[in-house]
Amino acid sequence: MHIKQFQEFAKDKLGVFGVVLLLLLLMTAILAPIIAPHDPWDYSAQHLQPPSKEHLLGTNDCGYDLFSELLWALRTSIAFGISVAAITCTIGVVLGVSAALIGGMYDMIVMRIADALLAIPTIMVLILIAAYFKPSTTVLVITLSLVMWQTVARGVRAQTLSLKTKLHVKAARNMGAPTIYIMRRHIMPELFPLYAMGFVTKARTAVFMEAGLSFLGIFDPSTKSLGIMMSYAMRYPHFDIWFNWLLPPVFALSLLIISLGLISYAVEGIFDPRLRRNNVTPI
Amino acid sequence: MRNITVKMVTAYLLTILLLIFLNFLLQRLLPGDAIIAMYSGHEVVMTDELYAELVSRHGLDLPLHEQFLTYLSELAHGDLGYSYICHASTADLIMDALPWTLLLMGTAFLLSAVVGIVLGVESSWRRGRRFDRSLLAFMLLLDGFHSLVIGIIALAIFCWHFGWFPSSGAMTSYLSTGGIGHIRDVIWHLVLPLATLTLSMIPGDYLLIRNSMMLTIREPYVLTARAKGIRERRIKYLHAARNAILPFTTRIGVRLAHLITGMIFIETIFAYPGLGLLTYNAISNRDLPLMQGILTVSVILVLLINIVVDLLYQKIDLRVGYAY
Amino acid sequence: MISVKDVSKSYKDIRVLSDVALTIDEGEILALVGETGSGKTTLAYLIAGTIKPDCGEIIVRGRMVVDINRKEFLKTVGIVYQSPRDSISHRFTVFEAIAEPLHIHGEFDDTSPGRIKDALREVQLPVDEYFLQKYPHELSGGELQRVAIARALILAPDMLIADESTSFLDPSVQAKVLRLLLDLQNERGISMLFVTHDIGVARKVSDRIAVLHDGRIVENAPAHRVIANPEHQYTKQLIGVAKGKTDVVV
Ligand SMILES: Nc1ncnc2c1ncn2[C@@H]1O[C@H](COP(=O)(O)OP(=O)(O)O)[C@@H](O)[C@H]1O
Ligand SMILES: [Mg+2]
Repeated sequence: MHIKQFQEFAKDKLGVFGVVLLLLLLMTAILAPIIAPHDPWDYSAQHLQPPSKEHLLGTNDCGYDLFSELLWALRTSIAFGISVAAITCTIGVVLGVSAALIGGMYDMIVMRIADALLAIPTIMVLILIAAYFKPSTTVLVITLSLVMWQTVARGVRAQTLSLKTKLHVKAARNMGAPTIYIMRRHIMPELFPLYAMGFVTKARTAVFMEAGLSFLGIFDPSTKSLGIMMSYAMRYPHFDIWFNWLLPPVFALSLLIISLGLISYAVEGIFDPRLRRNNVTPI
Repeated sequence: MRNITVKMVTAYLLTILLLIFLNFLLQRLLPGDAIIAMYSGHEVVMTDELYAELVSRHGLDLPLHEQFLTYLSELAHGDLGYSYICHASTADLIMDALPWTLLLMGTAFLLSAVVGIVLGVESSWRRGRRFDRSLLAFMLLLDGFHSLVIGIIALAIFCWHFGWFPSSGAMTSYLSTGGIGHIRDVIWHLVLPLATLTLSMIPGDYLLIRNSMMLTIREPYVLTARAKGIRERRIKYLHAARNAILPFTTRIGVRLAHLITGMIFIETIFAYPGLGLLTYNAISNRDLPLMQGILTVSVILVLLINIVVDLLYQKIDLRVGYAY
Repeated sequence: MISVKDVSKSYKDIRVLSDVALTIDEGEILALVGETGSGKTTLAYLIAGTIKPDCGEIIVRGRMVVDINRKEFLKTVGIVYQSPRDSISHRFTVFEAIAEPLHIHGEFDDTSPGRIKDALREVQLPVDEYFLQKYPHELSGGELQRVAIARALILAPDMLIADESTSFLDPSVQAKVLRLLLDLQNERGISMLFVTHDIGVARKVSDRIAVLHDGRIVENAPAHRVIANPEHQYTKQLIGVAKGKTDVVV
């Protein structure tokens, strides 16, 4: 990314706030094994304890320490988000750039598949696949990436088509450069804002999906996940547990999604200066 | 325009192809014995007769291409399979749930679109001012709440704590007050799921409209209209109509996907007896035929809505064009 | 060295070149003159082998261009474009820009930095590290065009194509770059196809002038004869226009 774009980003207070928030959450997730006071898979504590010095958020119905569980669940969410975003963006960029550069039949096929994916509710497909194969988290990550790449590919393709007509790209072609070289040296580096944008929005969607799917019971129930924590907590509406069991995962999930949303909105502003929110243009 | 239509039709056909591919192949790709895996819920006692019936019902004793033809003809006849766990035809189960989902989703879609358009237009018209900035910040914040989260908070406050609204169902069974009382009862059950689903959709609609307004707000015809002294609200909303409809139609697929996702969570949380809750129950019982049926129906629904909106848009676009 | 035989080229339904015939001799400078949109660039690209003719053939040293390994052939042609700001990626440093042909042809090795510095000396630019790491926006138009020339020459081509390479530079810079191109051509003894819309410039630099009009070569003769004795009405018109302007000093 060019320095100018960084400066542009830094001007966006909400965007910077999002980055700071995300970094804090990221640190927490990375350090979870160190910070967590208990083994999150250890259920030897007394059941349904209220918060105390020993158990900051108390314990759940099986005797797990809720605070430790929360930290590990956050870790799962973030890892899931990052992996899906990385794979989705890679697929999207490769397909988008190659469709634009190669064109013809190949371009047509890729773009029609992208259109078709738009009309298929991702979540239903995931639920179905999850139900049939009881897949590991890795397989779910890949499946999700396979049905989410189309928006990235679209954006990248449009941008590549306009870059393709630039004289420096033609010049490289005239020197005898193969398509791969043009992709690597002339097209990909120009698309950085698109990756940033795609990465953040896809990470956001993935975090969203992970929480939702685990809430619905798609994941292995022994996984530490914000959605699973919420769904268990909801089984005890009569007890007074909502503030120490239900709210913490709700809060953590919201902070994570908010931070990603703020960043993605700020990046969009860099992309198209007309969207920048601090501009006051009297009309 | 013709070119766009061809593209659309290709995409629709491909979507259906993808769907059939998923549904058909998943069954056959299943590791181990497909029948055992599909019907291994505890409520089903697998007798030899049942096993034989299932094998022939799914045509698993036929060669693959014949299986495929059988599948296609069943699909064409609206036969979506049989749920042995619920002891009912999948199509019937879905048809019972569908009206509630359509009521919930349709209303939420319209409400959030109206609110999103009005707020988005007003916000972009006052760009950079206090109103715009605070509204934008609020929407970005609201956008950060998962529909699950909004649902859970609403449930905890209004059902558990205050007990103002029912925490499950779409209507009270055996209600003796007919007519008006019945409608009031349905609305009373609908309020919370509808409010939370709408709330979870508004930020997306708002941001879409605000952005598209920002991109075109200084187009010559708007400035001309202003110069001519045409009333501000008229320009704002004529303009908005044109700009709002485009992103709404081109992104209708994405919007619907959001809506369906939100619907599943919210129906689950409020135990609202639509497709979402049906999905949740199918997951809990590992009722695979039911899940497939729901996927098929929801894809067809999305496609139908897409087609209607596309056609509608072509009409509206012409009229909006003349308005200037 | 290169002969173009009855070549035609259309884009979609629009015919740009019809039955064009042309030769460029070893070590010769041929100026290709015509107004904007007359198809000069198209003809230059055909000769450079980067696009294919619809019909007709292009023969280089007795071999048809279509038969020669495309990548090998492209090595033997260097192209300098009209706007260096567009023809060099804004993300490349001076060093990277000149190294690009070497990378593309897999010739980048330990000797390359030396070669790149030699090329820079040839185009009369500094060779210090500081300069090598500069980006296009830090250079003037003239400096950047010199970088582009160095890039075109780094693979020691047999032919240089200058496609309006000086047309969009400041007049003072234009003269210097023109001088440089001529010196380089002279030192290396390579052929040059000098594409321009200005017959005045063409007269100063070239041995021979070919005029392109309505997709055909309407004039093709030694420079002095074309100027003194134009055959075609269109050429006369061009000369008339050129006389009205102050000539470029070379
Ligand atoms: N890739 C292309 N596709 C379609 N038309 C082209 C293309 N390249 C050039 N043309 C058209 O061919 C004509 C000649 O172009 P060009 O060779 O660039 O002329 P010149 O270099 O003399 O200005 C122009 O009308 C131009 O619009
Ligand atoms: Mg040209």
